[in-house]
Formats: sequence, C-alpha cells, structure tokens
Amino acid sequence: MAANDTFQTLLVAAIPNLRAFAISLCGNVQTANDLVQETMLKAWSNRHRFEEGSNFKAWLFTILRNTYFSDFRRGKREVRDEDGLAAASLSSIPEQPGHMDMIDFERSLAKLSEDQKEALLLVGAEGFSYEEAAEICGCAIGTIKSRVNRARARLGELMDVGSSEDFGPGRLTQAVLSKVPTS
Amino acid sequence: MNKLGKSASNGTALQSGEAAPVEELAGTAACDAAPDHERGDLPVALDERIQSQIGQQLSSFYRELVNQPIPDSFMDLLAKLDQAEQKSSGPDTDSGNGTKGGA
Repeated sequence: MAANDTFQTLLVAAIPNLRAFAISLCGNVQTANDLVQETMLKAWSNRHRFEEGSNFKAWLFTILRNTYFSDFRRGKREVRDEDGLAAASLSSIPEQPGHMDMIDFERSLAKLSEDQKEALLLVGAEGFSYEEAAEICGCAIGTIKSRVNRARARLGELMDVGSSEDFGPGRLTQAVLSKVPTS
Repeated sequence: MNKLGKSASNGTALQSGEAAPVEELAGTAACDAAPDHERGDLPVALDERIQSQIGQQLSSFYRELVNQPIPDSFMDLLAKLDQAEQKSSGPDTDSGNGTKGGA
C-alpha cells in the first residue's frame, strides 16, 4: 500500500513533463494525452519492475518514447495537426511579446526528423544528460550528440530564413543583421 | 575564394600553403567565437546568437507546456488504477478505457 502510494505520487509529479514531451513529440494534444495515459498504465502495471533508487523519470520517459515509436508514430495512430497544436496548446497563453515567436518555433520543431526532435527535447528541454538520453533512446551517446547538433542546426536554418512570411525576414536574421556591421 | 578555406570539421582541408590560424584548428564551428570578419564563413544556422535564441525559445516553449493544467481524465485514470488495485489481486475488470498495459 505504502509503496503504491509512493509510486503514484511520483507518477503524478511526472505527468506535466510527460505531457509536455508527448505534445512536442506528437504534434497533437489529444494524441499526446492518449500516449501519456497509456504510458501511465504501462508504468503502473510494471511498477514492481522499477528498481528503487534508479532514475524514475528516465524510466517513465523510456516507456513513453517506446510506446510512441511502436504504436503512435505517424502512419499508425497519430494525425499530425500543426495548426491544432498551435491553437490548442498555446491558445491559453494571452497575446504578448514572444507569442508569435513561440508559434513559429513550434512549427519549426515539427519539421525536424523524429530522432532529432526527440534527442533535442530530452537533452535541451527536459535536461537529461547525453548518457541518460542515450539510455532512454537505446542508442549510443555519440548518436544522441549528433542528433542534437543536427536538430539545432536545422532549427537555426528554419528559423532564420523566412519562417514567417507575414513578418518578412526572420526575426533572428534581423537581430543578427542589426549587430553585424555591413561590408 | 577565401584563403582560409571552408571551415572543415577536422581542419585538414586548407587550401593555402600558410599555417592555419589557431581559430581554424580549434574545433567545430558551432563552438568557436570567430572574429567578425570570418562570421560570413560560418553557416548562419550555427551562429552563437541564433543558437542562444533557439535555446531560449525551446525553454519558453517547453515551460508553457509543462505549466499547463492536467486534464481531469488523468486523475480519473489514476483513481481507477487505485480502485482496481484495491478491489482484487487478480486481473481487474475492463474499465472501457483500453487494456491494462503490460504488452
């Protein structure tokens, strides 16, 4: 009983991060919710397999990403809905400076390959170490590093060049140009 | 053609006969702070300022998602798991929410 309570407490505490990762990965809030709930079910069923003192968060994320790649990725269940993501996940945020930047960012993120996006989210957003991310993804540390680097490079390209037609040259381009002396 | 050549990852593709400046050999382009006159040689995408911007936007974006309220359905699910656990030690009744995991 006490062990279950502890496990459930840990599980509840992890939900916001699991959801954030799932939403970023799936590109669809409904799908992400399904993914996280399925992850919770699996985690609960396998709670006796979790070793006390090992990395609970990494364990949960491993279950989630494995479930995503086996059951949820594009072509199986999930329907990518770029506008839906922007509308649903960010609509609660009031218009403020940076709002459009976030929507642009989200659209750029959606254009990364899934491997690169996953690696970037684990390391850059969730704060896992390269080693932890490699274990979660079941690959070599070098692989994670190169995926993260490629993700960052690709985002740099996407966000710099005409990412939002409404606003002319990308804001990042403008920011860079305003600081670099011409000729 | 720039006499320093393209910034190669291993620094061996230099085209001129002169010794490469330290900056050219110092490693990946993404990490080095190149002098301003060389900035045009770096892929724009790897520019430090852009990468720093990306880091900030990733954090902001992600933080917004993490801070969103958890839908009630999640807490309902947890309550069901708890109830099923307490009801019996055998397989629980089908809640209609899909199969109990473990595949």
